[in-house]
Amino acid sequence: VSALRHVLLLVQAATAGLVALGPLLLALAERSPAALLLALVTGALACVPLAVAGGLAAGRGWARTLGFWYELILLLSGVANLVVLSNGDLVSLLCTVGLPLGLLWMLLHEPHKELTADSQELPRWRLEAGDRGGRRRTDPGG
Amino acid sequence: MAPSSAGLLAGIPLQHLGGLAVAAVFLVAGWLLRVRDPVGLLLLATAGVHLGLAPGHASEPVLAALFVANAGAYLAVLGLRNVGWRRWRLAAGALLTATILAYLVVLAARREAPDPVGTLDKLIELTALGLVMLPRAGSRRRLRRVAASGATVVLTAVTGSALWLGGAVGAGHAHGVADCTPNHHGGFGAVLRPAPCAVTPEQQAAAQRLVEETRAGIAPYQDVRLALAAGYRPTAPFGPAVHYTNQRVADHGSPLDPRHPAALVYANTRHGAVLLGAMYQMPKVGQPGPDIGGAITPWHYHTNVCISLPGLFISGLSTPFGACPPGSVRITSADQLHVWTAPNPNGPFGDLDDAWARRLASS
Repeated sequence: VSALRHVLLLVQAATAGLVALGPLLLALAERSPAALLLALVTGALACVPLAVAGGLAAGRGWARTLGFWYELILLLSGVANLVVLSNGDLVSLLCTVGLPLGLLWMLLHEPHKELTADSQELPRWRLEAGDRGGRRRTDPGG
Repeated sequence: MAPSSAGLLAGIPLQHLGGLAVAAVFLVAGWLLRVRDPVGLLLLATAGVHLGLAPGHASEPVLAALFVANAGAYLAVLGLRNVGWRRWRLAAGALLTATILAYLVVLAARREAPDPVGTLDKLIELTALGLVMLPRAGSRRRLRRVAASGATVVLTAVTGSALWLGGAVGAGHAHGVADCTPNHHGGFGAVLRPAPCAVTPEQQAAAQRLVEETRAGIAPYQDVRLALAAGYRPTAPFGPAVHYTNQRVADHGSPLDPRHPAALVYANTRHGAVLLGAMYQMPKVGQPGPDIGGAITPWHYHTNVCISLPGLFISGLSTPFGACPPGSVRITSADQLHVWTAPNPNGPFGDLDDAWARRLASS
């Protein structure tokens, strides 16, 4: 399911990009440098899942590490929002807790393999060959 | 019936709960039938959502029929895929795109207000579309891979923006208390407190009295400098109107004191700030406001305000997906009630007419 991981990272990047619109509008309305800075930081952070998706597709080892820490921070923030502030509605729960949790699981458990939309359609020997190739490129120690 | 205001099902109209229930049944059935791949499960989920939404829209037979047809089409594509049809990706992609576009058209036409079930369903469809757009297993078509990835990001951003905008402008078909509150609607983050539809003559008189008392009470603040001197400070500058809040009054004052409302609302015109009205606010979050005029004066609260922890300022509004900027938290406001003393076309208790307020601001 590396294709699922790839697409979920893209969806996460797009939804994170939307977050930047709030402080951007605030910056324009109030001419506030602080809000503009916040918008820039938010926009930059929205690019992280894109970089992770691209890096993983290209077989770069740093992408998994970057993705791990990014999703972990998002997950902790989402859990804090859920527990402390009771922001537990369905969409919020899925996007701020479920999505980072799922992506963390995929990043930790999924071996690098070729990006496919339906890897289950591949013969088993093709998948195994893909796995070995991916690991060779991204994990010199393996 | 009004949607729940808290918990997992917050904001979901009763008529839409069927969509979630049927989707869950379809997912379990699919799993038992050995549908284990992401695309298959996502298509099953969205088919279930659409089928489950049909009974809740029985009053609109065309829309209900479209929901059923859409669910049938998804199931047909899944079935054809399972018997080895090679073009299933193309069919699924076309169907998903058409469904997403149709929803955006419905939002644009204000036929439906976005709700959590619609938002979740669009996320499911966008993820499924992203998956079917990617090249087949083992393909070396790098350009298609990049194009599919770019399209997924753009489509998600456009759909998310439309959901946000749709929630902001509201809709005529809101499945909730807005159905009987004149010129009021909820939407993303703005939740109307339920109120009985029937309004008694006493409630009408009480509502009219509140308008008159508010007009007299805030008259001294026609000059914004006096409001500033009294401790009101500009906050929440979204839209053509600016709220000036007196935090001391909001926290400790009497919630319905016409001479000292929690906030004053001004339009910034070329000739200075023009007083539009007042906003009353309950001192505690979760405390329902007192009933004054029934459905004429429904209290509302916001669930989408983002507060930056460093500096404690409003850093934006959370997205339809519940996210705030980094370092910010999403809070729920106390119950609020606006009383417009300026001639708002939606009436003294209705939503502020944005177009009218903009015309006023540019006058």
